Amino acid sequence: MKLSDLDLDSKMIMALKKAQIVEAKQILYFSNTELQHLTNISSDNILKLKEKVAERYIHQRCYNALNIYQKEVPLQLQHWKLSTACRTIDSILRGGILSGVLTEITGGSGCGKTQLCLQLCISVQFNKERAGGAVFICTENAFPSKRLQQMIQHYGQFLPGQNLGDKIFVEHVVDFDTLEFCVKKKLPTLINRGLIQLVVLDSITALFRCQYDSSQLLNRAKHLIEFASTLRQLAHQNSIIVVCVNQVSANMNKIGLQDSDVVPALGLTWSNQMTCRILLSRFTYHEEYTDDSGQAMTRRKLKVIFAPHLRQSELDIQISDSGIQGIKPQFLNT
Amino acid sequence: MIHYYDYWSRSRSNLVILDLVRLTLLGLFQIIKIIMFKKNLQREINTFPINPMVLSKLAIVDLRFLNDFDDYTPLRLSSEANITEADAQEVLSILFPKGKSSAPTEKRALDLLFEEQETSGIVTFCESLDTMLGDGIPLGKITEICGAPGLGKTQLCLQLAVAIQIPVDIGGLDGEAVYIDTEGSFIVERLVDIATATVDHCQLIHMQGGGELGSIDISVERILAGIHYFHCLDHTEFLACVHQLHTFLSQHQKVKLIIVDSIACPFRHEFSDMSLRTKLLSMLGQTFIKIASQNSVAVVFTNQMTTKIPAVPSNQSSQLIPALGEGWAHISNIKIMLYWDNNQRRAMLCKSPNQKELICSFQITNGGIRDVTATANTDCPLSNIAHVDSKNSTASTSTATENLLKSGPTPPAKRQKVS
Repeated sequence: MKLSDLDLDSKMIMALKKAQIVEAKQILYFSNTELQHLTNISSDNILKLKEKVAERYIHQRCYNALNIYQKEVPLQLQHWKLSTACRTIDSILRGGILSGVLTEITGGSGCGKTQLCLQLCISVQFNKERAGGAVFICTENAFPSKRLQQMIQHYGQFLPGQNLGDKIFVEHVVDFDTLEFCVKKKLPTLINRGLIQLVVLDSITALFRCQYDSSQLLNRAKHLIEFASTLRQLAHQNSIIVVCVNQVSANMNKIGLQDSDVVPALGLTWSNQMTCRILLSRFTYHEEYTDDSGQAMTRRKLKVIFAPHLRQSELDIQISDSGIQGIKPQFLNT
Repeated sequence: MIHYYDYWSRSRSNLVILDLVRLTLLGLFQIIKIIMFKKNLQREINTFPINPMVLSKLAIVDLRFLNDFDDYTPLRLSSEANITEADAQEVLSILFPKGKSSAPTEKRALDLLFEEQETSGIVTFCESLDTMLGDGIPLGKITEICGAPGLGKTQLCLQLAVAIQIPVDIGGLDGEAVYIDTEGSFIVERLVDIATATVDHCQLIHMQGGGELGSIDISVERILAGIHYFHCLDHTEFLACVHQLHTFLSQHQKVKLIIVDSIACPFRHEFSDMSLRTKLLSMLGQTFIKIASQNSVAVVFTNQMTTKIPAVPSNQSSQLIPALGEGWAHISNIKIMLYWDNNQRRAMLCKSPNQKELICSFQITNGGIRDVTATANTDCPLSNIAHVDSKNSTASTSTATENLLKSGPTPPAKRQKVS
């Protein structure tokens, strides 16, 4: 914001410009006495000036929690939830993935991270409140279009006359600059047209892991924070769902986070930026647990690591034609 | 030669005289130094909020320091400095404020002790946590909660925002809370959970005390209406918000708790200029200290953790420290660190003016922050440390429901008073 946007009298603007203050926000960076020294404006006027600037910078007035609960607030403050198209999973997520914040889906390879994302891309089109399309940003490998078609066939019967694939925008990104361009330029355009309600980034890890070596950790941290805050603002301002997929790395030192064999990649810096984190994992059973054909059974789990509105909990899941489904605890015979 | 010899071998009386002369000279020098310095130590008047035009006129007649004005009347000042009498009056009232003097009003330590005993802290609903802090989160002080993501910083904040509103009848503070959210992790759904559990709990306590069901003035709607929510996207907006806090507090006298969740988030991005960040943080710190002590509200910050990489690559492994650096670490009076240990959430008191360093465990239930029950406690050897305090040695053996009841607010009457 420029000084001229503040509608001040010209004398004051001159005084501020003399003190090399060109942007309105700089006024907030100085204490009252400091400003007085720099600009020679009387103390009363400085108080008024600061009040004026402060008012301009606050984008929302104060609401109380009851207003938010009764949805009497601007859209940005209302959270809506995106169902995962499976009631059992939705029940431990209390309705689904939360809008306006960053959600991370993490897990080892082959645990079903991409599956869950594809499922979300389809289910967002069925959403009652905010139906819309999805953007799938692919950084790791080719977009699994075959699998998507399989899922579309399964879900397409519930929404006849529409091609579910038409509303999923796929973007291949190979380096960070393209990603940044995509997030900062392309996405806002699509969002402004009201076309999309979900952004999936699969995965964030690949780019950050390969573009920085261990001597550049500080730079990487800085970059990660910048990028995460861009994403978060995007999510908040448009009240859309943003899902980031993250790989895992081996847990070398068991500090800070919960003890386990693997920890989500990109470290504490990235974790700090996440609001919700969901972990997918799988184990292979020993011989005693075999299915009918005599093959060793694989058990998959979905675990809520942290989220402000959820308790830590886990659920057994299975992967079928239609995607990931939760297994209700009472049907589990282990 | 003989002369010199004579001089040195003479009786000591001469030496004593010499010594006296030397001492006198030194003393004189000291006095001069003190006089000179006193002038320098005086506060310059241009550090006061005085109109610059007047200031320049005062400078012409060489009135630069506070003590220059010692024996001035408005009339004399206006004639000597060639300013209007109204201006002179204003200058003198700024320099020597009456009523509220620039120095804090004098109070005896005993009075302060009484005051502190009369105001109870905010209960966290986890008895061991309250005991660790002395008496919950104290009003008028700054508390910082740090921890890695997912440890319950936000949960603790929500719990406090609800707990501040417990009615006075059952030992609460009957206040309101301001919640400044910078991360967007304020989920009202979760708040409703905690508020519902708290309302139930309060009804229970009220009925145990002989009250009738429903006669107590607390409900979920009331609690929600008492939490004022600000959302800030970046540090500029945060600064603007804090700037308006003063006005807001004067309009809402009931506010007794300010929560900032988290302080780290707006200050960890978009900052290339680290000296600006340090400056802004210390400015904010001062503002919050002022707000906390003047309005006697509790200020609670949450802070993220960051990895400290040793400067010299050595065997020393990296460690987790609170973000925002050393300067910020001085702002808070009380610092609580949350961490995982054996799949158990723990809180460690790192800094406190009146409590010793302790560790306690807590858990997050559907209803909010609670004590860890006895069964869950047994496998953790460290948990004994939390119960060193003899008053609460029984806490580890109580059942969940007992704990729930116990963790309710302690009525102020129970507190011991110094007579």
